[in-house]
Amino acid sequence: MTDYLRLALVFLLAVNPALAFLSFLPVRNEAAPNTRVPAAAFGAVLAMGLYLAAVAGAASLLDLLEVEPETFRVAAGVVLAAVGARALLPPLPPYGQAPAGWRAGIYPLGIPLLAGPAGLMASLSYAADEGAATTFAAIVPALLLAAALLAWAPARWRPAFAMIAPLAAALLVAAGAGLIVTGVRDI
Amino acid sequence: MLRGLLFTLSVWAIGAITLRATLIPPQVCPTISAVEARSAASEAALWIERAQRPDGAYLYEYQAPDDIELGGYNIVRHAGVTMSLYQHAAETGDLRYLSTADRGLAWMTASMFRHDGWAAFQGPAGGDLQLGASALMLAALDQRRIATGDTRHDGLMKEIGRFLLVMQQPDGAFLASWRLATAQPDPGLRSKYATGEAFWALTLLHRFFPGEGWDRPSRAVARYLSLYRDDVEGFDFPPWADQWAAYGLSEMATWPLDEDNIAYARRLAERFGFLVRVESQRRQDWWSDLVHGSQARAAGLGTWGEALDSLHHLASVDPRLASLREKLAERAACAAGLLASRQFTVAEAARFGSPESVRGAWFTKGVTRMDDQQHALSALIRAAPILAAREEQE
Repeated sequence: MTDYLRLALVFLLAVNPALAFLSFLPVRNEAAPNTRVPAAAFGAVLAMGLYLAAVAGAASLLDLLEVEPETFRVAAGVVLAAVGARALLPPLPPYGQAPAGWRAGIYPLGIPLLAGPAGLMASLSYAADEGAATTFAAIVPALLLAAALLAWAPARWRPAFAMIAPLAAALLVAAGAGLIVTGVRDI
Repeated sequence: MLRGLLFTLSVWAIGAITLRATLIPPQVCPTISAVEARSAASEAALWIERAQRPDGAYLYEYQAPDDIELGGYNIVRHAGVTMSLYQHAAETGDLRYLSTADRGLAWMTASMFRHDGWAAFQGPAGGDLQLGASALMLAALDQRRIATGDTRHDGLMKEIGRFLLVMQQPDGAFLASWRLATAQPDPGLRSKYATGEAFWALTLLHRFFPGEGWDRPSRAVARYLSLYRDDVEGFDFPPWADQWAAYGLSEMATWPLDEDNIAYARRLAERFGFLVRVESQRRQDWWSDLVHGSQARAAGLGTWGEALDSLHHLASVDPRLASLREKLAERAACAAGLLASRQFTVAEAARFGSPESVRGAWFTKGVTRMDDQQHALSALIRAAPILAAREEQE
C-alpha cells in the first residue's frame, strides 16, 4: 500500500462517514435527502477549511509547542484510539437542539462530525511527517464521501451504516495503536 | 447551535490541555556548542582528577549538602571511570588527564589474577572475577593505546582478551563471573552490562591486532546481541538499551556489519532516541515526576548520549543507516545539551561546603557517584565532533 493510500484510509476511518451519517440523521430524520444538501455542502467546506489550516500550520504549531513530530505522533495515536473506542460505545444523546438548514453544516456536521479530534490530530501529525500537500490530498476523499452520503444517502441505508460504523471505529483504534507504536519506536 | 458548538469546543480545549500536560509537554534541548561540550567534559575530568586518592582509586559516592562521602566501591565502575579519562585523551589528543588515568590503571594492574595464560582484573578485595571489570579495563587500555600509541601494555591487553574468550559461550554470549572455588566460569550468571562491555573491548582488540582472530569472537557476540540476547536473558521491553553494544557496532562499522547487526543497530537507535525525547520533556517539579518520572541521573542520560554518539558514527559510515544520521545527531546534541545544563557550575558549587567536590559533577537528590561523571564525560566528548559538524552546516 502506498503512503498516500495508507493516509487516505486512516482519514476515512477518522472521519467515519457511516458514523457521521448515523449521528446526523436522527437529528434531521424527517428531512428528505435533497434538503440535507446545503448542510452537507457547508459542513464539508468548513471541515476542509479546518483541515487545510491544520496541515498548513502543523510544522509551525509543533515548533511553537516545542514538540517533535515523533512525540506528537504518540499523542495523535492516543486520540485516534480514544475516539475509535468511544465510537464503539452506545452514542450519547445529542447535545441541545440541532439547527435546521445550512447552519447544521457548522454544528454538528462541520464540527465535530467531519472535522473531529481524530481527523484533526491525524492531519497535524501526518502533515508534520509526510508533508502538508500529501496529507490534505488524503483527507479530501474521506470528506467528499462523507458529504455525499450526508447529502444524498437515503434513510433506509441506516442498517448498513450501523454495521460499517463500528467496524471503522475498531480499525481506527488499531490505526491509533499503530501511530503510538511508530511514535515510540522512532528516533 | 451556538450552545452545542461552544460545548464541543470546550471539551476539545480540555482535551488539548490534558494532552499538553501529559503526553506532549515541551521538549527542551538546551543548545550547546562543540567548545562547550569539550569544556563540560573537561570539568568532569577535573572532578575525577580531584576525586582521585593517592593510591589511584576514586571518590566513589558523595553527598553534597552534607559534604560527606557515602563509602562503598565498585571495581567495574573504577575501570569505567579510568576508561573515560583515556577516552577523553583519545578523542581530543589532550593528554592532561593521562597521569590521573595511569594512576587509576596502576590501581588495577596491582590486583590482576593470572591463570592458564590469561589475566583478569580481580580488585584488591579479591574474590570471584567479574567479566565487566576486566572488559572495561581492556577498553581503558584500548583507549590509552589510541590516545598515546604506546605499546607497552599490548601483552596485558591480549592476556585480558584471552580471559574474555574463556568467558564466552559457543553462541557468542558471555558468562559474567569466573569462580575461584571451581576454577570455572559460573554457568548461571550473566550480566546485562558485561556482555556489551566485553563485545566492545574485543572489537577494539581487532583494531590493534587485526591478524590475530579477535574479529571472530566479536562477530559471534554481535550476532548473539542482534538476534538472541533479549530473549535468552529475558528483557521485557527489547532491545535492552545497551550503549556498550552500540560502541561495539560502531567499532565494527567498516568490517562491515551484517544485516542482522544493522537491524539491531536500528532498533537501538530507536530506543535511545525515544529515551532522550522523553528525558527532554522531564522537569524538576512534582507534576513532571508524577507523569513522566524523575529526571535520569547523569550515569543514565550519559549512556544514552554515548550510544547515540556511537550510532551516529555508524550511520555516518554505513549507508544502510544513513537515513538515521540527522536524527541521531539531533538526539545526541540534545543529550549533550541536557547534560551540560545539569552540570554543577563553579557558581553553583560555591554554595556548598566543599565546592571542589561539587564543581563539574552531576547530582541526583544531592548525591553524585563517580560513574555519573564517567558517562557524562564520554557522552559529551564524543558529541563534540557531531556538534562541530552541525555548526559547520549552519
